[in-house]
Amino acid sequence: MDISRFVNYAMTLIIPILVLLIGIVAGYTITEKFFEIGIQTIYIIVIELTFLTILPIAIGFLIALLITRVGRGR
Amino acid sequence: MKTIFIIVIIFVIGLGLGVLFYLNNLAVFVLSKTIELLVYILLSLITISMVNTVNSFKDLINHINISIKVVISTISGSIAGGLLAAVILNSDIRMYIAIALGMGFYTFTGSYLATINRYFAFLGFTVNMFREVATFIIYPLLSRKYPIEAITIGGATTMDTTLPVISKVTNNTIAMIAFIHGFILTLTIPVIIPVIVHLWI
Repeated sequence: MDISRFVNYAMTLIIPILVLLIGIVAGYTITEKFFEIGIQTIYIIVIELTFLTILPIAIGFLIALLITRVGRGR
Repeated sequence: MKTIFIIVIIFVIGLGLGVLFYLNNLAVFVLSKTIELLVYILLSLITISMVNTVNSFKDLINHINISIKVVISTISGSIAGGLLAAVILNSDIRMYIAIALGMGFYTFTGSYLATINRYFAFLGFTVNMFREVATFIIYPLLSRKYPIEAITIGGATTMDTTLPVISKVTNNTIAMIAFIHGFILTLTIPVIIPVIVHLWI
């Protein structure tokens, strides 16, 4: 059997299971952490989480767009 | 495109299940170990197919060069993002930069910041876990147009947990760049966070 074909089949089978399990653990951990610190502070924390998650991702992506042009075939 | 949506949907279903159902310590342990095992299996499989695509040493050097550019973008984006968030929310600049520099490595960021402040430890853990979650959802959507640039979203997770998704929705060359990127960041984060936290004047 062709090795790349085998790898492809195995990945098709394993990836959905892995993604589902990671989702379950992430969902549970995040919920648990929220209850640990108390419902009333969630509002403030959600704002901080949003800024601290989105800004580094967005700025990093924009910088990458500026300094790497390989992905767009230039 | 169909694969991308299936991955995103499966992940969202998983998140929903995790939020809805109570898991005891044993269940979390078993799930974590299963994930670890599956990640190792996938890493071996991805490495086999990546090795097949490297034709020469020159190829490898080229991949490393691109990875370094992406690493620079990820680190500078995280510093700028943390700084901007601290300025907007009028908070501790040093800690916010340290949290943003976790770049998805939530186990290290959370536990390291716990030695300094419990609140920032929680923030460091959750922000970086969200970054991993965001990668599962955003990367497949951006991968068609910006497969290399979008690697920055994953941060350090691109060498393990998010690598299978990157590999599935792109190709082996991109997977190799993502792996090198994640590897460099995983080595850098345990050095860069303590430096930011302790040596800041």
